[in-house]
Amino acid sequence: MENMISIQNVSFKYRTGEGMEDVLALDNVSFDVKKGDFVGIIGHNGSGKSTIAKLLNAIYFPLSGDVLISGMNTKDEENIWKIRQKAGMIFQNPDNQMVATIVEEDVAFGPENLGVPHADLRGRVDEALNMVGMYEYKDKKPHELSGGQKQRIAIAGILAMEPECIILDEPTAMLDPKGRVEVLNTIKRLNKEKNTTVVLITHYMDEIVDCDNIFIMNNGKLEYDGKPKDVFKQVEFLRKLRLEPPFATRVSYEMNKSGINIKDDVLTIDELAEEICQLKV
Amino acid sequence: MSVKGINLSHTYALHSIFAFDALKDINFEINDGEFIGIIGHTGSGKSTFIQHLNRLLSPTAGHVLLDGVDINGDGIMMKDVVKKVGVVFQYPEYQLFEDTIYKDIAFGAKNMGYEDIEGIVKESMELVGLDFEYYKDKAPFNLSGGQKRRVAIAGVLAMKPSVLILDEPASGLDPIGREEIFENIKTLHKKKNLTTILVSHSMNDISNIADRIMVFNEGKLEMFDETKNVFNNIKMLGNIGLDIPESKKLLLLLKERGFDVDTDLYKEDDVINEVVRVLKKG
Amino acid sequence: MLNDITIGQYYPTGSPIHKMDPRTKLMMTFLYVILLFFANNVYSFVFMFLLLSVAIKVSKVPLSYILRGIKTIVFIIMFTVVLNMFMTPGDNVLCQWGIFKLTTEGIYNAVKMAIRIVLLVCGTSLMTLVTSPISLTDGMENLMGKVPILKNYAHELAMMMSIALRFIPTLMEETNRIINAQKSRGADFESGNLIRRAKALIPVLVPLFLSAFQRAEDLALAMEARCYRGGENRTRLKELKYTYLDRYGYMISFFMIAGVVTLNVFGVYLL
Repeated sequence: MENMISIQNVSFKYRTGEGMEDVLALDNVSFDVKKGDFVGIIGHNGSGKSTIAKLLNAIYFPLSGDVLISGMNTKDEENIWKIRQKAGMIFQNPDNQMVATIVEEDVAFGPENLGVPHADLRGRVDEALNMVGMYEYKDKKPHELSGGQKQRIAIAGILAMEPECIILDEPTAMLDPKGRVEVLNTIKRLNKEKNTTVVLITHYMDEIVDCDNIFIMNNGKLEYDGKPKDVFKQVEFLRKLRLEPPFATRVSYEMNKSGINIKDDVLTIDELAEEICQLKV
Repeated sequence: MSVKGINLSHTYALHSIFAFDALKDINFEINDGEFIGIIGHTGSGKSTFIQHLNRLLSPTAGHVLLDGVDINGDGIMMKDVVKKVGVVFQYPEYQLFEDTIYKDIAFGAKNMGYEDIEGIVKESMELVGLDFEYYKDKAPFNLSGGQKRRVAIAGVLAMKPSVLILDEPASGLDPIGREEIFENIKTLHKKKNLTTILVSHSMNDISNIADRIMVFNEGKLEMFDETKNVFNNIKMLGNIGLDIPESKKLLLLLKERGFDVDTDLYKEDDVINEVVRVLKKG
Repeated sequence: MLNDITIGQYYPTGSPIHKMDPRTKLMMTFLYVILLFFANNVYSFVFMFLLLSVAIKVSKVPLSYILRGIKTIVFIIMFTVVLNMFMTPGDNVLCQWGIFKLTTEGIYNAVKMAIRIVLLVCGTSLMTLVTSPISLTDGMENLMGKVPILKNYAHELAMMMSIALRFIPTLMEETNRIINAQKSRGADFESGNLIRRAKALIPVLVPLFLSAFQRAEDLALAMEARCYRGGENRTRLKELKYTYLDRYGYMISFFMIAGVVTLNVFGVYLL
């Protein structure tokens, strides 16, 4: 299948100030994301995962290597706006990405910038709001919404630009459990129903258990590229990268350690309970 | 220090059309040295409640007593209250304002009129695991999220409170940062015998740490009991829309499937040991 | 106190005034303010007062909302009243201390000034209560675009204004939060002289500014990510369109001018 995103030998440095050494934020990173996939990028703070987000959205440019979105290189200046339209971006703080004082006008902000004709705007905004289940809130003010709702509005704002891919940079870090579930369900539905490619950057492993593919970042390097199942069981490897595997995986790991042989790649407690039943038989 | 509430109620915008009952007739007693967890949805009254404990808000009816003394009583100054009850709000890094960590932590201590400021700052920094010599002259704004948060907590500890209230101390931190903060809070509670009140959305975090839990819902104190009993009241929690910790869920799933597990357990380590015990026996 | 600022607090009721084009409302408010300073006798003021009352009634905005705006400027009104009362030269001296003379003209002027300010604040508050901030800025952008000197800045200014309005509630909430946090650390905002109190604000202002800068940076990034590149080629979800309501608006405007001019001139005879 065609690649939505292709990162090829990318390195990136942050300038820290005069006389100080630049910090290598990304060190020769390469990976691809296929069209329609739901992928997770995970790593602790400072691992380079947020830098990737900004490279994908042509906010930063690679020091060396190339970032291709739908085959367009972010280095070509004439592509920038097309790239930003194709690969929309959601940020961490739900408050700091709402521009307008009324929900529906905020959703319209992106397509307005793209110069979408007035006649089409209403339809786009309504459809996007319906998609995230926030249509009834279209006349609300941002401060009347919960964190999770604000984040869904931000997603609607990107959807209204009709992107092929959505990149979310720790979208749930500032939300309560209810808000987290709302946002995660919304993006999962988008991926399934609209076949939108989703790149979810997070530091919660349990958010990405059912991803098609995950990328683990550590100190600017790509440490893992593959299926969640194959890596979540490597509890010690994950802990070395300062990541915490899901509860069920932790339990099965401890069980194995104390001499009970159980499948080590369980990701949820239901799965774990089933496996324990199998043992008894 | 014990904290007690008698018929505590709070109505915002009292006597107006916008009147809103945020707290409804709350009675409770927290004993000296206890570790209390507070759970409830956003808007359940949790944050209104904790603001009453250090007099940022005064009850529209009822009383809050610290060691038997009404904190809103005659002759009691705000300063007397905040000296005893330290509150660390959500995202406390936003309260940092001085150009060095030392000065910021000293702010509260100075306001309380303490003498040996340097000694207090040093002790507070040690309590949160920040090296005094290394950090004292650094600017707080260049630290990582978790470190900033610890500076903020030290700033509250420097007021030498007997009751420490923490509102979502780990929100926004990565898993390692979370773990570090909770480790810190645990040792603090042990070392200083601080009466500690922790507000958190995370059942897993609360379950590993609290002796008793207060459950808030729509301004009411729905339940206040030992952690074990609160988690056993699954029906009530479900009605409110609150979850139980995954560890407990696992035990319930196993029980359903005919395993003889003790479903009263909820701490992660206990649960793992229990599962191993039952399987080895069988 | 922070909750008393009504400017920028839209109060939707769906009244005909709400539905008017913001340009009409801006022009009418502009005219209303000018006429307030042009009005010179009791009859003109009563006329303006009646117009405002009708507008408030039609708008269905609760009176308490409009009056809240006055509460915040009580000091300014009092200051103006006192200044006018004692500093107006006049012949009919009621009493005198040194250079301060209380004259009937002074009292007359003071009352006039007070009424003017109250009507001014109520009128402009009403406009912000019945016009959503976004359509307000749209209206300003549109009107400014017609003025040659302002043309090039119209979009940028309007965008800045709308963002400021968007973040007022957020920053107010944040201010409250920081004040609470610092109070919990024993900060005292209430006692001491003016200098001490000003100093006591530093622990609030520094974090507030830092956070505002952070928000500005985040927002700029988010806007760029959503393809914002200035006003050129932008389309609008809500395009401004004059309707029959606006015709009434402009008719009322002429009525307003005619009324004030007539009463100003003939009011003298009525007295």
